Amino acid sequence: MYTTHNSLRIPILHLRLIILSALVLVLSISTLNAQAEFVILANKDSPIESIGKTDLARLYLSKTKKIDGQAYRVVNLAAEDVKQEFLEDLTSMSPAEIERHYIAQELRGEGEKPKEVNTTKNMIFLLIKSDAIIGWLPMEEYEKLSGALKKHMRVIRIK
Amino acid sequence: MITKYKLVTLLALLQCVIVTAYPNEERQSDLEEKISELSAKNEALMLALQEQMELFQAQQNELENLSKRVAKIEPDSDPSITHEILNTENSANMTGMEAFEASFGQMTETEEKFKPSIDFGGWLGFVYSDDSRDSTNSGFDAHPLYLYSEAHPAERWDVFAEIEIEHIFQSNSSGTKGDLKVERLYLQHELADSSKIRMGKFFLPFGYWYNLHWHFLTETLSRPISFNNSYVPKQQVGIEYMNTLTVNDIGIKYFAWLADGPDLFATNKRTESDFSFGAAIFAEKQISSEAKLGATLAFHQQKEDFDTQRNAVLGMDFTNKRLELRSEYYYHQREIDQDLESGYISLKLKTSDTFGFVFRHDFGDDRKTSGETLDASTTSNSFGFMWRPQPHLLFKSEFRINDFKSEDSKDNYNSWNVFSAVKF
Repeated sequence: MYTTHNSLRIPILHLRLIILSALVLVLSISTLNAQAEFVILANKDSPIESIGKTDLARLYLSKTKKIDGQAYRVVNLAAEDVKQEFLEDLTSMSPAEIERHYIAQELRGEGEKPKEVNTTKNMIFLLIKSDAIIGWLPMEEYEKLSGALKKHMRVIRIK
Repeated sequence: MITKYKLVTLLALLQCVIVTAYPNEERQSDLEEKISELSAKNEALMLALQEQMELFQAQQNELENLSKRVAKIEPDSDPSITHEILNTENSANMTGMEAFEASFGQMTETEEKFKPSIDFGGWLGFVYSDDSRDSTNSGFDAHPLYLYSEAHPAERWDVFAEIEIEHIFQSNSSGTKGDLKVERLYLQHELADSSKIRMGKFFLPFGYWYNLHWHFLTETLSRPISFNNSYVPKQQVGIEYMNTLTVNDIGIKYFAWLADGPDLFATNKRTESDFSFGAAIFAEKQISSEAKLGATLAFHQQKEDFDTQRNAVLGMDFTNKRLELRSEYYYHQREIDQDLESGYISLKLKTSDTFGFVFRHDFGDDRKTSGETLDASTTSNSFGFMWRPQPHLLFKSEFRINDFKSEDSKDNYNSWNVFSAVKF
């Protein structure tokens, strides 16, 4: 009787474990796929109000410096994970492809990688100081900023 | 009676006094006990508080030490700065903003101030190759080694220098070893906005292949006929202008150059050359989120000895997540010699982010490989793969079928190679 009882329990336990594992897996995949949102920012006096995603990608891939006749310098947050997510979302290229692109640029002596800043506040400083800089912040970071700071920056609309 | 009454009253009063006095004595002793108990507790609490204060002080010291260490690693992470940002954020007036800017003006100036710098880099390749035509050519070769340096001595000014060391080690004893060549050496000035001007020795951006010819970037080790024969010089000494712009969502990059100088390469040894000039344009259009279409057109004219050579190339390029398709057609007009034409079509099928199969079909006039006796007109097909486990590490291999012929003979031979390169 015990043997039969145990032999019934073990598969049930296994089944539960499998279901639990599957649930954990599904949840973890959902978390990985959950993409952060980003806000593209410039100085409040910057002439740019909106930008095409392709144009922005070209700026970040150092393929150009000019949009609509105006030169811009683009800046990245240095935090590797967030930066990769932003660039991947913008360029539809994998991190490895992006790195290979920069290597090709380096070998040809063309273009330089965009400047990077370590912290959100450094990004804000640059954006407030110069109207030729385009940067970005994760939406949650931007939402934490006060109205006073937001007044000195412009959110660039993606066409 | 009165005395008795007084006595009774006195006794009653005395009893009353005794009754009320005795409990008081009881309460006083209780209170004394409680006081001593509370005093003991108080003393214990004071000791505990003292211990907690010592612990707090120790933690505070540890926190300060940690803050100092963090500040050393990341100077901008000063907690007071964050605090000041928060204060500024809370003030919704311009005075606060001015104070904010003033307090961080120095740091922003440091961010924007130009600092002279110098960067170094390079890459090294290893190849094992063999062909059924000439068995003496087979073997291992540590080739090439490129070393380059880019210096930024002043704002908008760069100096780029690159040397190539060929055949550092060859298992095959034939051929030269350790030749050192200056590949590029130029001074570059960034003009306003997006344009640059170069002076010195530079590569000619004559179409896609000339512009990305490094084995570290190309999908095959073998090169298209035009480049392999150096029908257009790989590099020249002169002045080059380049610019980028965007028109109707099309990214455009263009070059123009005036140059001179011999280019010793392949069998076409350019011992003398006169003034040359050329221009190239590359256009790229993103046709979907993952696909782009490109085109190039370039022209170059050079006088070599008494022969005016005019060269043109037309190319197209399509890339998406799975495919890379590229094709170029070269036309080389020679004033006192036969005109030459060649071209290729290459296809890379990406099975993953790091691995892909490649195919290239070459056709045209290959004077270098055909030799003296065979007709220069040839076709060849290459099959291979390319694997980049890391962006800085490359493995690729290729099997190539070559087809040459003349009026009375033909030479069909195969070649293969395995190539690895590391970028540093």
